[in-house]
Amino acid sequence: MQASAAIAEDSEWGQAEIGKLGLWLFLVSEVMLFGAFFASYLSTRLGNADCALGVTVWPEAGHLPGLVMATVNTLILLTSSYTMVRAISGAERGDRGRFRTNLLATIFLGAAFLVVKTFEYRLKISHGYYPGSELAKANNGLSIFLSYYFLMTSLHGLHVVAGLVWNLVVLAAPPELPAEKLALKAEYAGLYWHFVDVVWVFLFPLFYLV
Amino acid sequence: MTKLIKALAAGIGSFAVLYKLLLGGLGEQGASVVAYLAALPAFLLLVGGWDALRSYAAGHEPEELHGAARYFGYNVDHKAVGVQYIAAALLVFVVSGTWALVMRLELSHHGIQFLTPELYTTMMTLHGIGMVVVALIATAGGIGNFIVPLQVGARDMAFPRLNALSFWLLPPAVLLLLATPLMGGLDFGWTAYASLSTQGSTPGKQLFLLAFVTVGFSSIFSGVNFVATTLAMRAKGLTWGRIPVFTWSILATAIIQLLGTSVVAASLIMVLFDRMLHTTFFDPNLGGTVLLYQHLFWFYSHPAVYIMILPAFGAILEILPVFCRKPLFGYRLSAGAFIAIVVLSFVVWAHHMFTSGMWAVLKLPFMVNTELISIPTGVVFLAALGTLWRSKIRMDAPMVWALAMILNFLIGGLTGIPLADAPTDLHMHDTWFVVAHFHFTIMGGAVFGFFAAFTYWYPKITGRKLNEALSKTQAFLMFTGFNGTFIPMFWLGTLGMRRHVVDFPEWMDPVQLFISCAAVLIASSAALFLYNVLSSLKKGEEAGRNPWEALTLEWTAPSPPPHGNFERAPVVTAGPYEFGV
Repeated sequence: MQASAAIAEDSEWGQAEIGKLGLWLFLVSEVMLFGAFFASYLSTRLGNADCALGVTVWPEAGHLPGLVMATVNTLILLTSSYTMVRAISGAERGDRGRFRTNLLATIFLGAAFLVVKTFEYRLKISHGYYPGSELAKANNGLSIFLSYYFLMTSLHGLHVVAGLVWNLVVLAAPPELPAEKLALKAEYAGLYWHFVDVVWVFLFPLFYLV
Repeated sequence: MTKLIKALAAGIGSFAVLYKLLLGGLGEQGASVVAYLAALPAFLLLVGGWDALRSYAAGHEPEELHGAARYFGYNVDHKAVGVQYIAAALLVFVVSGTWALVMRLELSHHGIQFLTPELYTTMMTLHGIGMVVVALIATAGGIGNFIVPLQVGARDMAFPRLNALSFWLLPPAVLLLLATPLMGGLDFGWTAYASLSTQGSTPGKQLFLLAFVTVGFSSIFSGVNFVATTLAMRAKGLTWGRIPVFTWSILATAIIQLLGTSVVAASLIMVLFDRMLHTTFFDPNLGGTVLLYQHLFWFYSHPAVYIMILPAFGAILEILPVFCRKPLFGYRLSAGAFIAIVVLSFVVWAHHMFTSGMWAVLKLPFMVNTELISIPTGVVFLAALGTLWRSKIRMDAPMVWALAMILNFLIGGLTGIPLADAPTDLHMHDTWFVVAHFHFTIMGGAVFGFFAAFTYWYPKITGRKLNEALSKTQAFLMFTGFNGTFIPMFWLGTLGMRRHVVDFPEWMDPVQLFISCAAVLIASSAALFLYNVLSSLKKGEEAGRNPWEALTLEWTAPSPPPHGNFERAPVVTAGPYEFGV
């Protein structure tokens, strides 16, 4: 984001701060989006276990196919956060080589995450683990678990795609762009990328371990 | 203008073509979603989003537009965006008002006159969601966009390109809503409760959900913009204790938009998944729960009524000191009350669900929380009455509107108490009593507040005053028509007249006919308003910079303000309401 030049002449807020403020505010609404999904998932799960209706037996997520791929994916995303930090520090020091290499690595890891995710979806679907399958229709716990699983992982996947596009835009910044502007653009993209990672850090235990 | 027509043609054309192409493979549901997801970005990029992106990437200032393009193009100037919002709101107001008038015609007599029950339900749903959009955008989006940067002494919003995007997301949403009757109609009311909304395969329902999510995006972006603008763009000397109360109310509104909107988006996305991808979030047979939808929906949609009413509160408290020539009574308390309303608004949602069969233990805390919210609302009233107390009132048109709003909202607020109390709500729920209460707060409060704000700031927006006599006549007509329409509804509601129903017993005929006649008064008042707005553009009395002799910053700029607003960056040295101090 880029604040307009309309800042009062001696405001204590510079363009960089206003841009960061805007991004954080947007992330607040993102947190509320995923927060709503997490809350729905947890309340459905815990509520069903507690109440008298308790017909729903939740599947042991760790036994569904795809745990290994998801673990690999967790490592991939965490590593990509590390390379993102290195890319930003490269941009801040004016070291374009370090910036480019690490941002490219981040993009590569993000793409790898999506590829692995696709294979994981295919594996699950080939075993009949998807909403609307015969398996899901026969077991209401499995049906609702898979509903939340596909909803939240696919929306997270969309956010990964958005983060990748953002990173690509920063990567394509013209070489004449001054170092501090580049660092700022990298920082914005990094903030978003870290947010996407953090969401996964919550998704992974909730959908694969418990 | 040609750009807009091209973009509209491309958007609608690509939607229609893709829908036809995909219909065979994906079915009506899938085809409508995929076609919309392709048509929306096409429209946005063509209407000017592409130029905005390019100027951003190159680090340039966005281009300034002139002539017709100023209002019909992707303009980043906050004043043009404000006018666009107001014009769009008035357009949707007229369309949705027409639906209401048709419904009233149908309801003038018992039995079915000329609508089918299905058509009546579709119309009721469209009237509801259309007016919700109006109430969400008219004051907060329209007046807020024009006035807030001026009131804080900035040259524009914090993110002008994003601001234009917030507006241009609205036309596609409105088009979608207008298309729903052609694509199977809607039968669920504006709340789109599951499982009515998850069942039945008309693509109209799909379009409704997509439109709702689109408005949500617009709302979130404008929330980001308003918070950043009030936090970071204030002029030198405009300390927290000197921010005009209207800007405070918009800040509070924007916080609700940021925190709440994505939650309702979440629930609508889950409905879309249930409809298209065989998930079972709201299907109790397969592990889902129906009530979850209502919880998520009201978590946003109750605070959303404060998105509608807080800007009206702010505008009223802004107007009263100017026409009473007295400082605002309890400035700090009022600002605090707005923030308290924001906080409390997020812990009252389940009072909409007292009869839903939710966990009974929740009733008491939600009842108490709802009662608590009347304390900050009462503070706003106290500030209004304290300002009026022993003042020398100038009875100009904005003041007439403000006083009408205060009277209406008093009734709206008091009739909310029996609805907040679970024992009485069991009796009142889903009756016309609720309908009347809701209209007294949102129409009597938010819409009258919008008219007050519009009349007050019209000279700043256009450089001319509205015709005073016409404006006061309109206020009188609307006040009479509005009260005549909705006060009898309280009575019918307590007798058990249910909402969403096209027919009623014969003995209600005289009252219903009376209500319909009063509704025609509202319509004629709206027509008078449109005439006044258009004719005053050319013939209105020239206003100059400060026609009302107010003390806030926007009145120091020329009317209408030029690009960049102020000749020199303003410096604030005193509070906004120091009349006669």
